[in-house]
Order: sequence, then structure tokens, then C-alpha cells
Amino acid sequence: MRPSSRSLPPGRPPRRPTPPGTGPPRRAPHRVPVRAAGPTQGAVPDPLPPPEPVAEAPAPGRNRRRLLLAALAVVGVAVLVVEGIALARTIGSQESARRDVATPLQAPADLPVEGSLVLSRIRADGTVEVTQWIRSTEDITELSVAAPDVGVGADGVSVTGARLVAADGTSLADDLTVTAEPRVVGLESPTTMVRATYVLRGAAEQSGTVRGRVLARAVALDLSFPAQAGPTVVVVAAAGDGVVRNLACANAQSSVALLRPCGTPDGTRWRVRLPPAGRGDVVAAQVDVS
Amino acid sequence: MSVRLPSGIWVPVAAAGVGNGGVLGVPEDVDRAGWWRGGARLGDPFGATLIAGHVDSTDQGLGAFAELLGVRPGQQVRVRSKHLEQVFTIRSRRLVPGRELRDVPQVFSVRGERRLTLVTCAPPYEPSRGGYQNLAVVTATPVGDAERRRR
Repeated sequence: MRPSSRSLPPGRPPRRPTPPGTGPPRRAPHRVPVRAAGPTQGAVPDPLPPPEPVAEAPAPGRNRRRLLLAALAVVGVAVLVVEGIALARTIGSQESARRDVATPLQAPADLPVEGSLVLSRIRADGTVEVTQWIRSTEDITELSVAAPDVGVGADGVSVTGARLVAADGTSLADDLTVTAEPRVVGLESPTTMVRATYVLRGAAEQSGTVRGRVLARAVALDLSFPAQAGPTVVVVAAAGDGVVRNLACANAQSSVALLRPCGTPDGTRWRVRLPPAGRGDVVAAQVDVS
Repeated sequence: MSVRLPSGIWVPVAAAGVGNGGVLGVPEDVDRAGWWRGGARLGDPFGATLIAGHVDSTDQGLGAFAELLGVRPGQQVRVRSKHLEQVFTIRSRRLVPGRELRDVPQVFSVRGERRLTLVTCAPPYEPSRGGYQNLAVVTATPVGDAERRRR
């Protein structure tokens, strides 16, 4: 606990009592000399000129008190400043500590022990909000990521806000640039689980035939690592009061790429479990948005 | 009217006529099907009840009737009208060349045994030749008589 300003010593150190006989010699008191009579001894001397008026000097005790108060005020301000700086530093260090101590990821229940999980939400404006998980029993040291090549417009599919987080909660990449050209993201430290969050634009189109219907030709990035195993669970939902009507899957490696019905309804959502061999399948979703 | 496919999905069905060239006027909404007005109705003792739907659409994706491409004999289909309901068992699924129903009269004739025929387009898809080149025709026969719907 920091001492309060009141307990701080005054500007003048306290006087210590001195033992008898050891102190400094006492000075003779100052005596005002008496004017001696001169040759005109016996004559009445000239009167002294009247003293000039001067401001009354404060008593020595009051002066000391004022000095003490002023000193206390200065010291008090200094203390407040110091405490303020210390407090700011403390807050800053706590915030820094918060950033440094990342929260470990909590794996969702649907994420396979080894495999991946895609949670996609189709918005009314046609954008697709995605949270994608990968988990492995082996260390993941690099990731391959690419945007799906199913763009409905001339610009293809764009990805915004792409962020990768490792199992221990540390950020692997922030606002990652993702294009249709696959890129490899190397990880400084290996991890066994990665969470990717991002938004796809250009992957879905509004139907010109049925009002309120959106066809999402893709619901996720191509995200993988070399030793990836296990199934991929894809869960597609519609934002707000929307309803997913069906899912369709296509072999991305096939030159024909025919869509086939896949998945099952789950309330207003649909889900499909792609086997390891079908992990690269493209999943399309038909959605009636609110 | 509505029809429940083997997957359990109910597909709304609207009455449809035949346009010029014998093309059945199937609803544009791929999640709806069309029932040919000229065919047999629920409760009729003979003939075919014809219901057709789009397999897919360029801007809607897969249609509800895309499921027909993978149905198997023995699976059940349920048809429901305003007052009646009847269960049918799938007997066959076959590909018929061509995109016009007039090429396959047995699909829609009111003669012959009581049956349900479900139709959709089937691959291959050739844009230069007008799209899908085949029809998938699923034929089902009634399990029992049509019954009054339980409310």
C-alpha cells in the first residue's frame, strides 16, 4: 500500500535532541550599542529619523506552516501524477497480458475427432458467413487454402475477413488474402486444431425465377493440410427466418461436375457428411431467405 | 395436391396443362411439381396419374424431383389430394430418350392398370441440343385403395 501524502516528511528534517555538553557553544546575545555622548556632552542629541513603514513580517511559525503546505501540495500533485502513470501502466499491462494469454479453442460437438466441420450461414444478401474447423491427431504444420472456383459473376468468389486461429487460441493469420489460386500457409508452431472464420462473396446468386430464393454454389473454402484424414461434416443454415431447401454435392474433380442430392434436413438447416474420399466435393445449397 | 417422396419430403403439386408441342407446364419453382389435368385422379380405378417436376434450375439449384434419379423399387410414395390419400410402391425407374412426354403415351394414358408415374429430366445435359436428353420415368402401383384423409 502506498503511503498517503500525509505521512510524507516535511521539507525540513526533524530536529534531533542533543545531549548536554556536546552541543555547539551558545552565542552571546546581540546587543544594540548605545550611542556615546560626544564633545557636546550634556546637549540634547538630534532625534533619530522616524523609521520607514515596512510590511509586517510574518511570524516564523506561520511561515514554516505555509512552506509545509506548499511542499505537501507539490508532493501531492507529484504523487497523483505518479499514481496515474502507474495505473495506466497497470491497465496497459493487463490488456497486454490479455492479448498474450489467448483463450484455447473449444471444439464444437459436431467436429470429428479427426476431420473437419463447416458451419455456413447463407445471408439474404447472398454472402456466406463461415466458421470452418480442422482437427487432426497429428501435428498440422501448414495449410492449403483456396477460394472455390464457382463464382457466379465475372469476379468469381472473394473472401473477406479470413482469420486462422490455432488450438491454443493464438492467431495464425489475420485478414488472410485468399484467391482461387491455392496458397500454402506455414505455421510457426504446429497445432492439432485450426479454426478459420471468413465471409464468401460471389458464391451465391439470387434466383430470377422464384422470389426470395438463393442458390449458393459453394459454402466453404478449400482448406486442407497434407496428412488430412477423416470425414467432413457440412452444416448449412439460413440467416434470420430463412430455410435451407436442399443440399447438392458434386465431385470437384469431375469434368462433368453433376450435382446430386445429398444430405438430410435438420430443422431449418441441412447437413451432409462427406466421406474422406469425398472431402473435396463442392456442396451447393438452395435457400429461401426471409 | 402434394406428393411425399421416399426421402420423406412433401412436394406441393399444382394442376398443369399441356402447351404447344405437348410440353407439360411444370411450375418454374423447382420445389413444386405439376399434375397433368388430363390424367387419372386419386380414387380413379384405372389409368395413370402423371406428376412431373424439374430436376434442377440454373438459378435455383437442384429440384425436389432430382431425388427420382436415385429411387429404388420397393420404396413408397404417398399422394394426397384435398380429401383423399393413397400409398404407392415404386416398381421401376427407367430412362426414356427425348424430352417430350408424347413420345411415351404409357406414361399418361388413362387406360390400363391404376398407376402413378413420376417424371423428371435426366442426364446427359447438352446445352447445344436443348438441355437434358433423357426423361427419368418412375412407375409406382397402389398399395391399397385411396382413403379419406384423416383430419
